[in-house]
Amino acid sequence: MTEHDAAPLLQVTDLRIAYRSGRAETEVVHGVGFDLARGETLALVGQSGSGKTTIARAVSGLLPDAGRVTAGRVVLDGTDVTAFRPKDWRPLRGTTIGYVPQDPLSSLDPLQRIGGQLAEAIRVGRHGIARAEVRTRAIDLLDRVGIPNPEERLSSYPHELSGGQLQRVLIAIAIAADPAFLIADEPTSALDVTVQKRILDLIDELRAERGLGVLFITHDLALASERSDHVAVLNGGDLLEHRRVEHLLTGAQHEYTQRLFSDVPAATPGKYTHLRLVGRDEQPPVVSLRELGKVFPSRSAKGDGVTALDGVTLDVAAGAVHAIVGESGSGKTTLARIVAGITPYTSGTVSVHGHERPREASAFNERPEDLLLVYQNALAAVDPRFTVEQIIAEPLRIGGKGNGGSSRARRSRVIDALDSVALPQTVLGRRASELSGGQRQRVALARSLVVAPRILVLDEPTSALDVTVQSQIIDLLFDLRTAHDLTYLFISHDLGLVEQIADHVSVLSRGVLVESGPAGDLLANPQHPYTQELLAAVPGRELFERSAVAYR
Amino acid sequence: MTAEATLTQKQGARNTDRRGQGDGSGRRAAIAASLAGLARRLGWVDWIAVALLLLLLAALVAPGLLAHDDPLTGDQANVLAAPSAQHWLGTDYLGRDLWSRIVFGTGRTLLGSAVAVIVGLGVGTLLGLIAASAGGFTDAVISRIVDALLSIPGLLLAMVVVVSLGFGSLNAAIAVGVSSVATFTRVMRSQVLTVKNLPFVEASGHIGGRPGYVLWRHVFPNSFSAVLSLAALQFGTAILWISALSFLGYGAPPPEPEWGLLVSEGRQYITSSPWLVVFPSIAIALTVWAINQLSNTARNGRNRD
Repeated sequence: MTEHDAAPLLQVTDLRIAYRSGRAETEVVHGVGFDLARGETLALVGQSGSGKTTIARAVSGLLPDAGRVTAGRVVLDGTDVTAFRPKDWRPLRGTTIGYVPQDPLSSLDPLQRIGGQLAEAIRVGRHGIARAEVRTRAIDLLDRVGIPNPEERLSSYPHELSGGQLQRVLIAIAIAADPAFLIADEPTSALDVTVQKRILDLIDELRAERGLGVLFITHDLALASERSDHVAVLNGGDLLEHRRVEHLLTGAQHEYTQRLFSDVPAATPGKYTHLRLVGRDEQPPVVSLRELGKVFPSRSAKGDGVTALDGVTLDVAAGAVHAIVGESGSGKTTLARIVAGITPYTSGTVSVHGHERPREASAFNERPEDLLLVYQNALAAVDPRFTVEQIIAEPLRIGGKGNGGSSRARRSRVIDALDSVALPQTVLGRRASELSGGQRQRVALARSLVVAPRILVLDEPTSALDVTVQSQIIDLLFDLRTAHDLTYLFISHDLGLVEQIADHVSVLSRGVLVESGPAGDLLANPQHPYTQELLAAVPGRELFERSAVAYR
Repeated sequence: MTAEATLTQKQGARNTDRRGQGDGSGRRAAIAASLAGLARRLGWVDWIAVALLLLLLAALVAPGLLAHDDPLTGDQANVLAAPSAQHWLGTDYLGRDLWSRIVFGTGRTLLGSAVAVIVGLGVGTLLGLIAASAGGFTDAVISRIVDALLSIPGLLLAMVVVVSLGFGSLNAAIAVGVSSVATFTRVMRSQVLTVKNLPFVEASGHIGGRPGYVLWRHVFPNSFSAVLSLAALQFGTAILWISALSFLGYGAPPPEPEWGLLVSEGRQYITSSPWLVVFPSIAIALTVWAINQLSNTARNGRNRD
């Protein structure tokens, strides 16, 4: 044991990984090397396709069948594991390597109780352990990861727990057999920011307490800088930079890393200040909500139903970027859908451009040119059988605009819309599933723009995108606003982003509007504790303020 | 509806034009690649099935190329002859060549199944679409009728229908089609119920699409593919059922070389000339197997994508 302590826990030297497809082999990781010591956190940062997950899989023996380490060495806890077969990995699982997966909701067996799944992990490497002891350990573990009433929770099923609690259970499972090395693969990308903060705090505590070496995979450079000792920046399978965090923030940097930093909203809160339209609040409101309430009927006849929105009153000024902020379950998406006329509401009034929305939602939108909703998941919101051209042309065909025998006119409008969202014409014949996430969101915007609406309701339009793509989409949204004189109702959970772009912010918590006001005042001096908590959870915010690094 | 169809066609043609000019070689390469991908997915069993279906197609289009003897007039000197070089599968009680009768009977048998599938698919799809999109009372009525139909064994139902329509090969086919309506309705209904709640259907209404437009442009095409793969399976079943009805005497009248009828006629000579039962049965079994094999492969492939 002592001889190992001096050596790093994980040593990766000149690692090359290739994927086989048919007869051809494509190298996706080109000679990456790094060390990870006990008790330290190394963050692998990169966009999707950068090879970060492939590397994490290779060092944990989880490469898919098509993947192969073609060169280099991986030494884990003093053992060369480069040529290990699945059978050789088995004794290391749980006892040496712990793995915290990305999506807590689909990583647990929905038909097994929490206790059973935890017990399975506890028994790894401890043959013949007594039932009573397994139970004691399981309770201790759940207690350690901060699950209230651990004894009762043992007999819960996964669907009875929230996403954050499930991730805690998965962390408990990962550390159940006392591993020395923990891999956390985007452990919080499916969670709210405040939950994210608590989960990452927990991983930090466990690392300090047990001397774990943590390999933290993330696309978020701000998060990585805040949570790790070392950061390795990857792009296209190359290791661009590998430094201690302090040096990364202040020292000379790779151009790519600088760009990544400048794309983090929290690092550049003033990026769009010059575009902010002063005095927008004096403009007449284009969307007005008065005492808006929404109760979802409960499934059983006796129940009172679930209150999603309760007495929400707000005005959206013409030409403004009005952000609605809240965590999942706060009612922000319900609000967006009610404003869009898709979901019926139960009390109060909603008016858009002076037209009051009926309480019962209509089967179709009679005035699409007033207001359109841009869906969160752009892929799900378009017909999988349609080509991009058909997708963008659909509103025109429905509206009959440019129809009358002139498919040429329609086509030219499709191409105009495509130009305005900066997509090349080569995508016209493709389907949405063949596009990247950023391209899909552009297509969704182009489809809305051909209708020439005056208001766009954007429901988390960038939540599924990398920071770099997100910043491109936000740039585009500002260009479009100037070009088409649009008003945005921007739904988001990310206060860092909202701080960067919004003129006016409304904070929702459990269906109640807790705070609303001009973005500058509200975020500089948040009054409500909920807003303060949201703001504190923005990754990297404090860090950037403290180090006072300006990337403009 | 027709205007819509022409529009789609025009658009399709234009797309092809543009591709032809723009990146024609790329497109062709893509098509070649997807064909190659399809070919890779087929196992050797699938290839046997493909070969069988090609043979059936030949028998359907040009039976004269595969069999030279007349299927209806017999060779009086060679009654109930065993399989030989002259009569590959032997002859029946009138001296008619069994191979010729099977080959010439392909068209009638397959056409009957096609009619049955078209009746079942058409009516079932329509009923399923109406039930799921209308909901409420309409849905309840259609669904209960479907339940009632499903509770009756399919072949029995087909017999009841054919008896009320009158005997004959077309009527037998229609009867089999009617008895499969319930299955198609149910599958279509469940598909439509799933698809109509997908976000893109809602999104189409949100940009101004009227319910009828959304149903026709989005819900129907996205629900129909699952029903189509059921149709391929149903085709095999239809061959069996039509053969069964012919065997029982409800289908094609005697001189016709319909496969089920061949089995039925051969039954009387099962001890002396077993080939009369065995070979038509093998023809039925192989056809059903080939179609099921390929439709299963297609369905799995679709699920994998």
